Amino acid sequence: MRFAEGLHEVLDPGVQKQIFDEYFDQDRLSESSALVADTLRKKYNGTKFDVVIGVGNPVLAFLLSHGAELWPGTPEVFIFVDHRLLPAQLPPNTTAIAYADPSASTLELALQLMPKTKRVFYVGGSSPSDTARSASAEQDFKRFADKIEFTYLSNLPLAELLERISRLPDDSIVIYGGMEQDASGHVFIAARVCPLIAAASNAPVYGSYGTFVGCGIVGGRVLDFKDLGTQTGRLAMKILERGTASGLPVENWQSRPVVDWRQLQRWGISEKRLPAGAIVRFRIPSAWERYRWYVVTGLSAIIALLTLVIVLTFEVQKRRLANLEVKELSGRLIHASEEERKRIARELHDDISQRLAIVAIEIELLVRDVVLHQPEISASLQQTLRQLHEIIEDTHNLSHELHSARLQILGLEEALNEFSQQLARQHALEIEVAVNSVPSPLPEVVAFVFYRVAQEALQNSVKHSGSNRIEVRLTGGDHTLVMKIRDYGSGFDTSLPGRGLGLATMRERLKLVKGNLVVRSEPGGGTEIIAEARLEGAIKRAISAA
Amino acid sequence: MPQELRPRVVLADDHEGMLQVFQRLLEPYCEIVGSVKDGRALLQAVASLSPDVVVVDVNIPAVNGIEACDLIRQSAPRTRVVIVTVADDAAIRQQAFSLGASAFVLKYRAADELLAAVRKR
Repeated sequence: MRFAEGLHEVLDPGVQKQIFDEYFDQDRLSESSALVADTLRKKYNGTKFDVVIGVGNPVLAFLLSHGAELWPGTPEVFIFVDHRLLPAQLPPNTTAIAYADPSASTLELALQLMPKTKRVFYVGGSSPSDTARSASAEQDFKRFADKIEFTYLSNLPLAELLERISRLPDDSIVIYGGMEQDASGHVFIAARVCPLIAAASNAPVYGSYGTFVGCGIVGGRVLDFKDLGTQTGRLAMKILERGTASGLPVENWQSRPVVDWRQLQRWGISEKRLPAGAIVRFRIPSAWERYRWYVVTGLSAIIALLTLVIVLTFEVQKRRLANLEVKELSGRLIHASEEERKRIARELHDDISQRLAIVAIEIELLVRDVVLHQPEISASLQQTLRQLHEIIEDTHNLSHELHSARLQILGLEEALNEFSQQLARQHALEIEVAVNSVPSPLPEVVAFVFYRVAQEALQNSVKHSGSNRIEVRLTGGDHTLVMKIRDYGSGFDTSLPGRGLGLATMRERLKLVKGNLVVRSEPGGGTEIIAEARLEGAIKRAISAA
Repeated sequence: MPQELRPRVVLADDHEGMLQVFQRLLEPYCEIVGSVKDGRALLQAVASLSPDVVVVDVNIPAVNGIEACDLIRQSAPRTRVVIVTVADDAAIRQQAFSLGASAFVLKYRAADELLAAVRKR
């Protein structure tokens, strides 16, 4: 089969060809060559062949005797023939692909794989081919005789042979040369006997023919029939092109080191001992080899997911930082805007208003001088003066609106009182302010933040709650300042958005002094706003600044 | 005007122009014994000069006019305090009087009211 496979691989598919097969089966039939020649002559009378290929040593002998007579002028190729059986000079228009019996080189390979080997059992058969191979092996093994003990099991019935090789001593190997017939006359196909030998033997079996590999032998320097088919096909093509076999040299059928991976495992033979270029067949892929792609894919997926997790975590962190920055920025914006209002308010109050006041005084003095002598100018100046007073009042109101100096001058408690009373009067409701143990002086920034939060909270209450009573409690502790502003009005659901901006502004203001805001409210249950700040650091800063 | 009726006055305002105007308004009738620009200097001047009257702006640095009024009334009860301000503020005015200020004068009305406030007993 493997021969045909190799042959057809190389025969040019463009060439129209017809192949005739003949099987002599000489080992079994032992027909006389004259009878065979006569049969073939009758069978192929008048048929013109382009090339005749003879396979095996018996066919070589037959063709050397009858070839020229049967197919005169037809090129002949002798393949699968032993070099030693070829005549020194081949007949004209013939060539050959010959082998040297590879048993010796198989033994070399076996010794390389199993250096402790002391005994070799050669297993052969009783047919003429078997005997010829056995003799050839024996001849070749002579050079190992000093270190290896050889036993030839060639003339036994198969059953006895199998029994014999089942109890071989330690450090033995079997070299199976092929059995086509046993001592009791049973004819076999050598490759079919191979699995029986390999199964029965308690020692590793080696062999030299490609058909034995896979039948239980470890391997050997193997003559592969596919190689032979390919080589024969190439040679046949060459002959078809040239029209003659003359001048074509005899080719070698090269053996190759081939092993069965499963047998290496069975006998515990390390692959490291294999010669370079050895062919390892029937390898069962390892779990890693079988599942490598699943593992690689799985690991890649895991790595990809991990990377994703890391990237996302990083992004979340970045976002959190960005949010913090936004909050800090909004705090700074509020602070900056307060600072700017304060600056403009001071400018108006400390400079513009003062200068306007000076002008007012000057005009007043002028009025006194002119009032007696020029009453009409005096009246006009008085008018101007009244306008000037209005401008001064407006400027003051604007300044107060931007940033009240009142808090700075009166302190948080008084400023809260004043603002509350004013609001209470405007909206006809009751605002009670209670102040307890507030440290003095309060850092300006703390006083300012609490004043602003109170303003916002009170205005919210007045605007939204409908409560006619609001309580403001400002209480100082050792290190804290707490302000609670409570109304008894409609309240609101704190989980709903809406009151957002006012509360957020309060919160941001409190952050300036590391404080926080708590809002307690429910629909119908009034609202309580609690602002809290730690004072320690703030006071220390205020003291060191002073 | 007889010397004994000329009250001894210390002026306190952080605005230079304002100090000059006050001086012009009061000089013919008062003895200006000092003029200062912040609360701390004012307290020192009161301690060393024992003026009859102090004319102090509400909004001066270091110690503001209201705080200064409180401290002066406690340390030098014979010294009267006239608070001046650029604009009216009911809360501040109320606080000033409750701390013992003898007058609360709007600056732009100073030509009319300041001398009377200084002279008021």
